[in-house]
Amino acid sequence: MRKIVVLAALLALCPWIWAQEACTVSYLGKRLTLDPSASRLGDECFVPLKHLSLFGWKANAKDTRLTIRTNDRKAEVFVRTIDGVDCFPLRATAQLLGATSAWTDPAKLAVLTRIEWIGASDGELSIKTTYSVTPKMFTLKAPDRLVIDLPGVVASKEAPPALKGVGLGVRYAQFDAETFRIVCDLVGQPAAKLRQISEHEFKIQWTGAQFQARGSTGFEVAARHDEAKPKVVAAAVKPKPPVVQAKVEPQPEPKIDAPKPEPQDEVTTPSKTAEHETEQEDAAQDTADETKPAKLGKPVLTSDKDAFVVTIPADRLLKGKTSIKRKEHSLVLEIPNATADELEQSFDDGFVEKFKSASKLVGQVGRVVLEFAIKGPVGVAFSPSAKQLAITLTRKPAKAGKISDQVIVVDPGHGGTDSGAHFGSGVTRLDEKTVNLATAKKVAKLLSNAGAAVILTRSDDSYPSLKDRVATANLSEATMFVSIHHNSNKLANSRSGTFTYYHSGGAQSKKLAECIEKEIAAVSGLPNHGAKADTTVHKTGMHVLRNTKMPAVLVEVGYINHATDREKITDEEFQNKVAEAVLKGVEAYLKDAGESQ
Amino acid sequence: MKRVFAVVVVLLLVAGGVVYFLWPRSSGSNQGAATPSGSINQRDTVTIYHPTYKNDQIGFEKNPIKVADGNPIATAINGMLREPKLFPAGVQLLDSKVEGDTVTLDFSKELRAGYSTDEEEAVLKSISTSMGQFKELNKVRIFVEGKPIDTLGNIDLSEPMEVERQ
Repeated sequence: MRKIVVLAALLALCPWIWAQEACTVSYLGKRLTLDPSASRLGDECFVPLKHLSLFGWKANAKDTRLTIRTNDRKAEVFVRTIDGVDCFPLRATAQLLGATSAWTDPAKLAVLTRIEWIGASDGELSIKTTYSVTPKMFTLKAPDRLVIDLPGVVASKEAPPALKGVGLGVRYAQFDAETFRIVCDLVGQPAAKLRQISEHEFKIQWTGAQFQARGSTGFEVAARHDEAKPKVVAAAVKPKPPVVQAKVEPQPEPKIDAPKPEPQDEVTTPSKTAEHETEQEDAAQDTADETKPAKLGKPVLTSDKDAFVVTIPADRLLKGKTSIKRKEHSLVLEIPNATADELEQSFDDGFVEKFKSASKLVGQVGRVVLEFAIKGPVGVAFSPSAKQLAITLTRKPAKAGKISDQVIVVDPGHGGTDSGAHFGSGVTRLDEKTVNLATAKKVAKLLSNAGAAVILTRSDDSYPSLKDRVATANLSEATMFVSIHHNSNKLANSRSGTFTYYHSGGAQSKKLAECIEKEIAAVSGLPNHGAKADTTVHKTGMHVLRNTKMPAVLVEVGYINHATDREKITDEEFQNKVAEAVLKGVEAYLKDAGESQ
Repeated sequence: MKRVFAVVVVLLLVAGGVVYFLWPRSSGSNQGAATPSGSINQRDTVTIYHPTYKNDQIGFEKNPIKVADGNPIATAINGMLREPKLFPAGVQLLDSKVEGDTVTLDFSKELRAGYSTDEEEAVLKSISTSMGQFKELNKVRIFVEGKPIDTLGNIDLSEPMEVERQ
């Protein structure tokens, strides 16, 4: 009987044995190469002893006990033999040494450091962590920012969002699952010096006047590793000029959050973008005065031969959704929770006849109505920002066939929280959205220089939805839509080259795609996969190609995860070549269209 | 009496081991509270489709596995979600519902990661092919956190996808 009990008990243990799985380990943001591999057993990760040196730990083994030391801490754990290999429990060890760990997927363990303190005093920012940290400092341009990345560091989402009252222009957030990022505005290019106090602590010291902190303040951050969520830190939000380029150079950093259709030819758009959420001061003010309507200031009207721009400042964040209704000879915007002085202004430019603004009360909510009396069809771009609205009307071409008569929507794919494809990680990570924008801006500039009225669906790191992008093109009665993308697959260096997609059944779109792809093939030096119907990718096709009402194409310039392609697509010269090819393709298409008429 | 006691102890140990083995881990894939209908629910095994790239075309490796929790749809999707090269880390199937010939798959927000055109194609093809093994289904609707989505990146998902049969 005893034998049966022992046998059964062994059988009962089998599931534990079966539950053992190989797993990977990332340590402070860096993936470790482990051969033999680590094993997941229950919620613990067992790592072969031979890999101890990869963690930089000193260890002494006695029988089945292992003592692991860092400079200031000690962990005593038991050794366990798995598949004949002596292993130590990584999660238990990490916890005893002050680090934390989390299963980021069932077969991947991340060992991380938590933020313990962030504070500032007298021109210094100090950061303390529970375990080792190696900060990386670099700068970003437009606007100038100092960035301090902490790989392998996490903080709770409940962490205070900003160092209020410090006056440093400092903000921070979880940049990705394993990187904490601190960003400081660099005004007047002050010098910054990084001082590592200990493995757990470092300080940033500024010498520029803009960064002299007032007083001393700081926050303890009660982090919980399992709550770390990727979040991108955005640059401080400032009102930005509109995005339409009508025979002018592209604005250095314009922005568009295009309208959303609701229903056809009626659009609504949120006044509050994702970027606004990072503008902590405004957000705080917004919360404090939740019910108070925004007062719109006096509109600034500018008009030239081809564009009419109205920029309206507001004294606080604009909330709710602005509705835009397009009628035959007018455009009506209704801005909720806002007030404005009544204004009426006439124009004699043969383009916009009259502009009117008026407040009205709908229930308990104030609304501002802006009405444009327009002559003939116009392109419309609407750019809500934190504290201003910009409406740009672009003259519609009188005739087709010349590039100077075209309204072309250039769409840099993805943006904001939608990175598109990416390659690499940490500071070397390359996002598709970034190269899309860089190339699309060059395309926009060349088309604009050639005489077209160009509308960029985004000109910074924002995310207009696909519906917004389509609405921008359709409302503007654009004559062409060119979306710029880069491709990737899950097998690095397996696929290379360019595609240009069109929506199945669109003869003009197909023609435009063929013209552009032919020109890109001539300059790219990459394999040319030709013009392809988007239904070859998926039966329904691509949203922006399917729903735009004009010839529309989506260019895939190269593969972000192919070394040859990546070297090219990140090179400005190559981006310029692609832009020239798109321009030539558009010209060839117009020439063909003119000849066939 | 002793023999009865020993048998009870052995049974408890076996049951404990089985429960441990089958119990979903906190950071693992959710089994999904699916409500599959009709003959879908009768299946003992399902096929897990793992995408492969050959000659520039997406193909699939097929691995049959036993249905877990009596839920073939959740088993097929959860098996696929464990493919680390295809789906973003942390994606879980929250729910699945069958109405007529359409299955609605509700995923966690991690599904909304960045995708290139090829990656999006691979994800959608994997889902539609995985659901194509159920003859009762013709269409798939994708939800994220209980809400329908129009796209994962570029491809128009405003209408249900058709399943793909292998």
